[in-house]
Amino acid sequence: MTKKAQMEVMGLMVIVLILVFVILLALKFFLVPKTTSEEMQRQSIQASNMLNAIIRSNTEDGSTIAKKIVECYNSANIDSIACQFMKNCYPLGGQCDTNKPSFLRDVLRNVFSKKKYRLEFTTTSTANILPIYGIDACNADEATITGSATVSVSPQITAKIKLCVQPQQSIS
Amino acid sequence: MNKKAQVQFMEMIFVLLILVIIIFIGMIIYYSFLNKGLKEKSERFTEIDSIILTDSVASMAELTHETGVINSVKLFSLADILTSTDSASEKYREYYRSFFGNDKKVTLEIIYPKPSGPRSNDNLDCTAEDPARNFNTNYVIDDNCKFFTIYNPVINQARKSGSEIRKNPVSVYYPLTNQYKIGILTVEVYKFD
Repeated sequence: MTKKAQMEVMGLMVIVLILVFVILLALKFFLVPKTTSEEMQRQSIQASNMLNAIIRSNTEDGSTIAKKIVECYNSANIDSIACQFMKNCYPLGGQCDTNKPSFLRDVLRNVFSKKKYRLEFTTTSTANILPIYGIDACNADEATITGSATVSVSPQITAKIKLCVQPQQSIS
Repeated sequence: MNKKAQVQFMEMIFVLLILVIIIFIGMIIYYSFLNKGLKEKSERFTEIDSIILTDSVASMAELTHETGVINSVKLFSLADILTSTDSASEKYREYYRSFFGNDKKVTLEIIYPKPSGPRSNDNLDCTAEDPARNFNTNYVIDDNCKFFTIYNPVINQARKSGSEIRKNPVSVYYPLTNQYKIGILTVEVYKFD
């Protein structure tokens, strides 16, 4: 190969390298997920506010949500009357009765409409009968937790909310 | 000019043309990134502004029962000041105008337990207008109040190009019944042309 041809090949390689560098830089801008520590902080504050409002709130019959959770836990049967309030759905002809209050529909979906969330109550006992809301979300290993909060309901029960994004999904 | 020189001249012009095209494409990409960055920054500032306002409202002494818990009766007191035309309370209205800003509407929606009064399905906003009458009828006598407007600026609707909404759950205290409800504090930040 002549010296001129060698120089031209070198020039071509430099151009290719510059192009690769520019493409990598552009990809970095396009593909970086929007999850930032600020966003996680904000979502954790939102989760914490939600949990505090839930635990403090009264129910339609004048009791409190915290009391209802403890009563349900003490009944040791998810189908008992004490646990009815916590049910996601009252069946009506194969569908959910939208006239009956639903904690999931009225509160959680209202606040976290576009987000994936999971509200769970963990207990000190091994037989945990308390319901989990948003059961399919924030559970898989590949879900990225973007905010979480924990509040003690009673000495035996702890409530925890997790907000998350599944892969390929941005925080909204 | 001989043929070889002509070819070399053409080659040089071709290289220059490609260089100009590459520079032009680079400039377009650079400005699109710059524009996108500016838009993102503007949205970020609006978001920070609304987050600060949501948290501030949930801890305003004139609205809260305790930190993070809004007292529903105090919402009527604030609405009384903001909707009155009394010149004596003008300095307070001026204070709240500067506090909330002229581009943000702040509302509270009660989501659980839902109001149980006979007009609870009417989506009544009890502080938007005539808060004193609403307090006596739709708050004290019947539990009809689903919405409360905390601040609603007077804006030029023709200039409004859109809005961004931020929601934050809060606990709302009802002192007359000693009950707590769950509410959503919404800050709507208007965008103008």
